[in-house]
Amino acid sequence: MIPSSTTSLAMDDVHRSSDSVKVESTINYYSDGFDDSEDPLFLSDDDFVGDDDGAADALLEDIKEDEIDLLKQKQQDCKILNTTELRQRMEQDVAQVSSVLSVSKFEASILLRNYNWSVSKVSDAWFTDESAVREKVGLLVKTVISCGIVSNKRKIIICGICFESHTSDRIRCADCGHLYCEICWSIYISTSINNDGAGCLMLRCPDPSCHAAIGQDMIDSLASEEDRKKYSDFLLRSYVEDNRTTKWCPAPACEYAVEFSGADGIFDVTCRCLTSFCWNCEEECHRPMDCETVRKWISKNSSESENVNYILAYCKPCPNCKRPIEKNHGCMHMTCRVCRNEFCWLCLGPWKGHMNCNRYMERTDSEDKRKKMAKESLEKYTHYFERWDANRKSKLKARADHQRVKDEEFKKLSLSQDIPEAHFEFISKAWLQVVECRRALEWSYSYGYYLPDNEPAKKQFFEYLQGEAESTLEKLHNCVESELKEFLDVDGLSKKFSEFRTKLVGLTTVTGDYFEKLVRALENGLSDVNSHGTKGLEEEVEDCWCCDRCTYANPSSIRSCKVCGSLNIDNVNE
Amino acid sequence: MTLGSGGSSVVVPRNFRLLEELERGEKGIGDGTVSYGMDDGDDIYMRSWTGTVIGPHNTVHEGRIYQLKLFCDKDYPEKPPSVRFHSRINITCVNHETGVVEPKKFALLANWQREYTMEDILTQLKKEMATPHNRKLVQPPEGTYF
Amino acid sequence: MANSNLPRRIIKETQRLLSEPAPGISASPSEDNMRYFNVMILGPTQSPYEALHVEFSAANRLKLCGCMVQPHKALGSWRSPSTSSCGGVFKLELFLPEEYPMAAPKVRFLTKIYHPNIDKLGRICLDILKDKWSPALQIRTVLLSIQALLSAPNPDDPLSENIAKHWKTKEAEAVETAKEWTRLYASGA
Repeated sequence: MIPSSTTSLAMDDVHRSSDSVKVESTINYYSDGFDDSEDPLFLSDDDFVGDDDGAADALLEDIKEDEIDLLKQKQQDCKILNTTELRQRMEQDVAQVSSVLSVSKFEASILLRNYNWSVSKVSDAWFTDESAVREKVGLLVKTVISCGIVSNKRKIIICGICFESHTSDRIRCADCGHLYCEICWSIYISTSINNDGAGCLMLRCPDPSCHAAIGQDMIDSLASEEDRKKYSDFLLRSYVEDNRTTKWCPAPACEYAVEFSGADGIFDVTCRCLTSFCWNCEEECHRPMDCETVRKWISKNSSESENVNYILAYCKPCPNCKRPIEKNHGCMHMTCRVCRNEFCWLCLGPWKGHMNCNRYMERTDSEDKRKKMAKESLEKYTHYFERWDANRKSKLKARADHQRVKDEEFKKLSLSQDIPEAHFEFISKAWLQVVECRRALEWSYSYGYYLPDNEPAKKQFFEYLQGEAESTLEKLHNCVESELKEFLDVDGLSKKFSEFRTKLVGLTTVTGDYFEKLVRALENGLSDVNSHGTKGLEEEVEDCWCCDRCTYANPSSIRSCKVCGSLNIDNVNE
Repeated sequence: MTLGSGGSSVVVPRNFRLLEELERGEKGIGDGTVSYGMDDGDDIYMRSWTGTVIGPHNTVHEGRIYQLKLFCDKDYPEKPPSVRFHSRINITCVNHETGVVEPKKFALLANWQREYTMEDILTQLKKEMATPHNRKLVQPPEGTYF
Repeated sequence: MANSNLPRRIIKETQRLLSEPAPGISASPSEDNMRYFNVMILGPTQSPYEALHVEFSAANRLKLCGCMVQPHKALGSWRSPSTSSCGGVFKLELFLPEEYPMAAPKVRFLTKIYHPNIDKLGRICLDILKDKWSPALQIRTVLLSIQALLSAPNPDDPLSENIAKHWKTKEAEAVETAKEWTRLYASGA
């Protein structure tokens, strides 16, 4: 047992170190060497035992503040927007461009559409060369004709499309002054909205030599209500899809869009519908794997290429009916179950009159080697896939468990422990950590599969980090899953519950740190281990020496290798 | 809307109608059990066509691939094309010696309308194979031709 | 009936096509379907589709090829003896679909032609017949564009891969083939 004040301090230390670890973790970690099993960050269960509720409450507040900080940081990177908010944003952007450029809102909207809805790009281009921009997007300086025809209602004008005569009040034109009747305009607009998809947003004057853009003002005054709705939906879609900073949430029925401004290569975002996805490739979150490898892995899993490998390794086609036959040991005399053909497993020749087939053995030697390789590759894939899949399932279960605990057990716990439900946030946080870590662990197995076989040092380092992270995660998962149950049916404020709280909070933080370390190491390609077995070689090439025995790069201040203990020969010579 | 019907007052002329049918055939129709294409890519009048019907399930025709020849003359689609089976088949509307689909015994040809297409003919023939009086008839060996 | 309710636009276009035909182009509606046109285009001069011996404005040139005909005011019908056995006369057919003019007319060559943007069935790869169609375009503009396409083949956007390849690798040879085909098939017979 340790005094409460120190508990709090200890936790503060952990918190503070969790910040600094983000920068130094890999370096500190690595310099401790492969075989250093005592990690300073690891706290044994005993360390978390506090015997004072006040301390636990203080702790709770710490965590809460932490979480708020985290949320704030996340919200800075990404915003979840519903349709109404999106429309508001679009209108704001349009209004801004309209006022800065002194153009109408419809013109501003046309401009933004042409510049991927980027306000800054529009104004940059506009103030660099206004007439070039006008030409490009089809915004003409208004001509007098349009005003002229409206003033003289009696005038008869022939429509350039239907060739019918119309009084001028039935004739309309864009800023270019090409005159068409309202009926032709509305069919023209409707044809485009219903046939060209989002292309209708770029509608131009029907005159083939004219670029004049048709804005939403024309659409609204000439199209049917149904078409106006479609047009406005296309506009909103364009606002999200053409905008570099927003994307629709990929969940099937979700109508939210996500605005993302993170810049450090970390793309994980979570929508309000609780779907987490990678903003870059729109797959589920997959740190520490890069998007490209994820794509490869997913297509590997979904394609049956591995089954093909299996068939190659274990099956041969029946020489008669060509159906794949799997051999289940025994002699070489095979009988196809489908066509009853009898043949030799080795040479695939007919069994009738079969003598021996040594000759064939030699010939198929290279094929056997190929099959052996296929078998090995399959075993490797199976190893990583099983673990990837197990963690994926465990992640999904943890997510469901968390929901269930929140929905059902918090109430029970609140009654039995006489603590308001709001105070169980730390349990939620632990569950979220479990989900997040399972997810990272899931992808670390896919990462492992793609780790080159010819870099054993990296593989060893990877397996070490992964192993450490995995074992703390198991502790955390077990703690939040099993130990919580004890308190559900026990009445009264139990001292043990605050012990549990301290332990769980600590485990959550520590597990988070381990995974942060793992994820960051994998994300920088395990670059602390390069082919020379050194870290930071480029920056510190002057200040370190490579151990002759294990190739570890040691700071020049140290005379014997930190990893294997052998002496620096150069240094000795000096 | 049926191919080439073009509404009440617009009549799609023969050649443009056949071009529409050609493009539709090139894209592939439905589940692929019915298909057709032009025999001679150089024939600007698009007269000779080959159709294929895969025999429907739960009939003696199941899994069989039947080839047909369709000939669209100048008066198509006012008049139906002439249709004959190339692969041997035994169904009531097909002449046993020539493989010709006899209009008298095949309602679609007998009551032809210009909106009907070659796809309609092939689809209808596939249905014909599954009618009670055709689905169990003894068939000539597969891979034999008229 | 097929020709009832023919839009005024089509009637007007037809009238104008007949009264003021564009040079080297003739288009006349078929008797039983006013949306279906018989079209004839003369191969432009300086192109492999050139109507070598046909010169409607100069009667003496016509004599050169042995055809004694009256110089036609514009071009007349494609059955006119003026064009027989003289090369460079391309027959086309054109149809105005129900959606016209919101949708493009459908046009194809009936005369065999060796051109990278025209396929064996006479189908034409031309932007204004597809996504660049505008209802302000007319039959006349379409036919003029096709005539221009004969002057400026575009092997980079081919409909016939083989011809386009031929055009790109051995242009002189491809042009000769085009001339040969013009002589063989486009004699207006």
